[in-house]
Amino acid sequence: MADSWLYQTAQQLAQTSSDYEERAFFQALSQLALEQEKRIEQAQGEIDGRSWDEQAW
Amino acid sequence: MQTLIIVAHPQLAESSTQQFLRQGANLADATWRPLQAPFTLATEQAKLLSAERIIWQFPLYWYSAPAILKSWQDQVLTSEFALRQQSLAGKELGIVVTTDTKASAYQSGAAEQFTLAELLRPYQALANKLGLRWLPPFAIHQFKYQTEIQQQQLLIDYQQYLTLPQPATFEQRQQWFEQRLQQMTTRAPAMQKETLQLLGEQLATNRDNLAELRWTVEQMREDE
Repeated sequence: MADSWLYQTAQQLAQTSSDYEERAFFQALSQLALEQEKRIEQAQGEIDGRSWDEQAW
Repeated sequence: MQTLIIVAHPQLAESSTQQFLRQGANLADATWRPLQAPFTLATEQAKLLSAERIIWQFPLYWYSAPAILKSWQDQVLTSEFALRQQSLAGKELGIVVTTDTKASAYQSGAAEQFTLAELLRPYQALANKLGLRWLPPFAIHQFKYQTEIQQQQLLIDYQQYLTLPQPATFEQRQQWFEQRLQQMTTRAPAMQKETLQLLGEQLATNRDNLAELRWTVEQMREDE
């Protein structure tokens, strides 16, 4: 999540780029990365949940 | 995507919101066209014909656009051009509207009582009449009170509104970032190239990973 390499790198570039649009781009990219990771986690959670229901017991 | 932004603002030069959006439009390769009377019919109609996506962009004045947009509509969208010839059919119409009022005011029971979708209905009716595909409106509330980070996000959301299929899916938004990273990589200084490339690769890996997980979820749901 917020400690992922993708998020951290995008955040860093958002703070160090000299061009305004590039800073905006990297800031938005960092937010997209968070959303991506959240969705991955949710999908994994759903798979785990469904596996548990059907097979575990 | 040929996007034409028709800007209706009586004091364009003094509007910090519009100047800000103009940067975004330039970067998105959209045509920025502020309205200025008198209009030359042939020029205005030719501009419309060359666009695939038409945007009417304006501040909300008394729940509608500034008068210059109505005046332009009445003169340029002639019955012959817009109705009989159906010249705009198959194109898209989007609205970019700015307001000094907060977003939460536009709902039933709140200060403005009506949603923006309701207030913008006449434009939707026009789109329907002329065979234009109506896009979800893009609203900007209280630009000057936004934090720098909110404004940065706005710039990117606006660029995506101008260029991506609408309404854009998460998949399309991810790919938009990947494409932009590729473009940036080609013109980046050598020391930054590798980082940008890695960012693009990681983004694509995550996208593939997510698509695969979603596919698995769909399969499991179907099997139940």
